[in-house]
Amino acid sequence: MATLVDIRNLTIAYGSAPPVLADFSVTLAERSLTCIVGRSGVGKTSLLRVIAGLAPPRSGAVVMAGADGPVAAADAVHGCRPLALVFQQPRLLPWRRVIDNVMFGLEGVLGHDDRLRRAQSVLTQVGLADHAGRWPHQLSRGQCQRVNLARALAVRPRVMLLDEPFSALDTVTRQGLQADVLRLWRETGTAVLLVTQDIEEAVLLAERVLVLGGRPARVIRNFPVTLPYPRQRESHRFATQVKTLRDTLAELVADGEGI
Amino acid sequence: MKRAVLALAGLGAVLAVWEGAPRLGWVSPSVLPPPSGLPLAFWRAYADGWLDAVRESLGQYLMGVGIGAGLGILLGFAVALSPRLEALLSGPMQVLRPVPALAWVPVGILWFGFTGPAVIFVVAIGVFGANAPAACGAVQAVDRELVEMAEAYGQGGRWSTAAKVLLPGAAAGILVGIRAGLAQGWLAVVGAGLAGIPGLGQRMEQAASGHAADAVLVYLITFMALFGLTDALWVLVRDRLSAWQR
Repeated sequence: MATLVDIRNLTIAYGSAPPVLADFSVTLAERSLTCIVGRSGVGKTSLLRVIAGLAPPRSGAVVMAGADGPVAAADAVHGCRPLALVFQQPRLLPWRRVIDNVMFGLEGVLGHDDRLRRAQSVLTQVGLADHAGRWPHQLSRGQCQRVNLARALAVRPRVMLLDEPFSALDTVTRQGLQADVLRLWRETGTAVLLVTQDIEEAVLLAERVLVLGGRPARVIRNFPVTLPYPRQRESHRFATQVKTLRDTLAELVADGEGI
Repeated sequence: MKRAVLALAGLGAVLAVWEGAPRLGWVSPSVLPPPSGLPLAFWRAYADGWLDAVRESLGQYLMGVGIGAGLGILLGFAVALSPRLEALLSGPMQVLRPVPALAWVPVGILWFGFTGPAVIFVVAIGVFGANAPAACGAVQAVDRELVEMAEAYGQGGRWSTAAKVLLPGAAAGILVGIRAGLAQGWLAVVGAGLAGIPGLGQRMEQAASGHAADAVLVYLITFMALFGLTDALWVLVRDRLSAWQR
């Protein structure tokens, strides 16, 4: 697969404080699904914010393939963004109905009718077609997270960045959304970079898992997940992969890597 | 339903006591005229140019509210978004904040004379004082994560953020400031009138000076009705803007 995003030697720091993340380099291929795992506070969310362009890195660069060329121009005309961030909390605008929240990223780019068609289509994809006219406060937490996902899908991103989007959900809702993300990843062909603290979730979803650790944080393991999709949580091979990743993390802690 | 019946019963009881007190000789009708005499008093006031006075005061009030609320909300927005401006204005605001709105009446008379613009000035000052801090606080309280979300989805320009996130996010707080300003505005209209600037307040003061208690009550009820009307309009706007909360 061709490289879609080239993240080069990224160092992230707050003000003049020592960096929280240093020399982070990774490439994301088209249609890939990568998970980043690491302890709380290791800099996972900061990394996604920098990749999404919401904060500057202290050094390094995020280079999108075709960022200045005709692909980018065509993307802009068709209401597509190179990257879309799915936040940990849904961050829906409470004074907008569900459909208007989903159309948010298309405003100023597409006309109203096109926005509406696109939003209705992605709401159908996430199973909320009947909820288009509701207010966010009328939705469950899982439904809000689906709207969060739909808002990202609406801009047809080439890379979708997901920041622990299932962490605050109950088990049943979380598993439903994990299945949705996998399905949408396959249907849309977008590349996915997902941050999580849940080892099982990482093994369930990812083609490879990057383990962040140390101070400042860096990639200390690149762990390919070799199981075919769809993955069964109950299978012996799944349990073995989860255990292998857990053991790897335990070894790193024992070696003083500070996961 | 039961509550509405009780409310009506309470109102009826007050009117009955009010009607009975002067008729039974508990108080002099020259101090508290009975409500049954008010229609005639109202007719006399009407013949004496009541409607013109209402128009004049209402026009000055609306002009003052528009200027005061507009400038107050704009400045509140600017201060909320600019720490430098907030620091710059913190000194003058600390000095001016304790000045009661009615203390500006003599200043208005000094600068504009006993004219309509003086009333507009005093109303605008009072309304501005209620709206600027309310708008500033409301904008500062908008969830910054929503602002970041807007930026992530290409709506992070200054005007776009202001129109799509900050203004709707701060609307509830701004509305509270507007309501306080509406009340301040009527207070200023009354105060300016009592100081002798032509309008409803001045007519009420003249009626009191002439011991025309029924005319005083007519103007009092007029102020109550106007305040009730503006407040009811505010409730309509509030309900429309906060439909998403229900």
